[in-house]
Amino acid sequence: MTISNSQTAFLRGELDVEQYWLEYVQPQLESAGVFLGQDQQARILKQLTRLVASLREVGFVAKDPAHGLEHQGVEAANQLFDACLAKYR
Amino acid sequence: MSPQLPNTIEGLRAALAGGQFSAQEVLRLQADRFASGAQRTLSVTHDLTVQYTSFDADKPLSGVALAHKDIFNLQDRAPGLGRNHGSCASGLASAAVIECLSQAGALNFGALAMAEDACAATGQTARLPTPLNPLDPALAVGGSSSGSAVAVASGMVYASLGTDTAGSVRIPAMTCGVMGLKTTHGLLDRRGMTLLSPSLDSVGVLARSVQDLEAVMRVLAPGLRWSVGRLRADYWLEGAELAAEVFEVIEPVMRRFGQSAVDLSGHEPRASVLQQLLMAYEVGQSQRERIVQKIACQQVASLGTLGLSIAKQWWVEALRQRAAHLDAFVDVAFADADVLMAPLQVDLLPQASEVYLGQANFKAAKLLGLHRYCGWVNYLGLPSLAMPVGLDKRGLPISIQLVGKPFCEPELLALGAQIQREMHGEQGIMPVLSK
Repeated sequence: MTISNSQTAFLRGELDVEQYWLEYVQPQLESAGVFLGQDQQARILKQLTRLVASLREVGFVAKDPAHGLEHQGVEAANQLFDACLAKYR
Repeated sequence: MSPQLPNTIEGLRAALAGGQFSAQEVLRLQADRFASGAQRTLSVTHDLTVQYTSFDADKPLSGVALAHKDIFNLQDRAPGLGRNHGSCASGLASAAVIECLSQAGALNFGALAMAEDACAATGQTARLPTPLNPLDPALAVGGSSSGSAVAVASGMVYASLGTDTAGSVRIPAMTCGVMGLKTTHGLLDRRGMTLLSPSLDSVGVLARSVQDLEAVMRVLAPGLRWSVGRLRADYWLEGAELAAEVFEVIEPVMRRFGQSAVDLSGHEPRASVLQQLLMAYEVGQSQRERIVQKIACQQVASLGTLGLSIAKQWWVEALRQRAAHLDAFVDVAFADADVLMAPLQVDLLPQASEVYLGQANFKAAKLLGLHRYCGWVNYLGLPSLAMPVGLDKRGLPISIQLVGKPFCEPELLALGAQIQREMHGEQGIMPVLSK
């Protein structure tokens, strides 16, 4: 499974938190230079589980972004939000 | 605050304009008041030298003592961010909002204490003194703009700028019994302010009265429509998880000043969790180096590490959905109303020992309760005014928040003024000048 797929699969509940941790979080943290002790890892896992449960409860779904277009997505989203705020002015 | 000085900015201006005080007297009295308050409350991280020689009637804040959260650049000084006392930074310009107040004649007396990196619901700090609550030193001071709330509540200054990412203006205002206005996302210029979570951070203002908030906001945001007509308020209480004593105080207030109950089920929980997602991800990004080097404070390390475990595409999606959620919320909450009265405080004000980390009496639920109903407002980018509306059986304040459509700060202040006037008189609920 690609990283992108594992992220969306976890959000949809098709991947458990331990698999998600191994496939995505651990490489992500290690490449950032963050190395966690067992207690810290357990605490973050718990927080992540709780956050994802809340996201699922509100029906949050993330789409797989077109490769390399994430940055454009952020800019467009921020512009959209700013325009939305501005129309109430 | 010294009893000789007027209670409000308007009163101070009148006294200066009428010659009851000279500029030198006003400077001396305010400097004495600030210095004695600083000693008493531990709320100042850096004193500034202030000069004031004559009253200028053309400047709306001429001679008015202010001091601000230590998150804003000052001329030749980098902020301490709750980590330290700040540092010399030759050539650094003041933050845009600080400069704007200065141009209006305000006097900046110093930089104020804050939770480290603006990332905590209390003012507890590990590396600097934790400020004391002027209502009772055993009570917690909310964060992260802790020093701002303490300086305002203790009468050291008329108003103070803070920042709000998940309640960091409203929570300290609530714990100290003062007013705290979180402004619309993007309304006030953030240049020269250190960002924690760029999607969510807003500048805010704390003051003892709505009138003083308005005096400062008219300078910072003159382009808002300050002429407000007749207002209608609705309220949201249904399903809110509140302590019985809090409910008993705020429910009659909401019914008295609000017309109808609004059902926000679905909107608030969704906005709350998406705010958590955005904040965690962005703290992870903005604080990555400090987390890697293990020099981040406990809250930043914990939230930021969670953020580093969140997929970027979730963050992008949460940003992408924001405009649609804002429109949907406005359609429901403001269908018939200009202002929404909403819960802010879920329980009685906590003791420091209940919410400061590492204390024997620590209760996680009490700490979480401090920001339970804050984050959804930040996700939607809305303005919100935290204000006390009554007292508990111990005589301590109980606060709610007034939430408006984007850029409707004048409407919030107008309703806030009405509540303040009708319930507590012109001076507001917690005039602490005599303490």
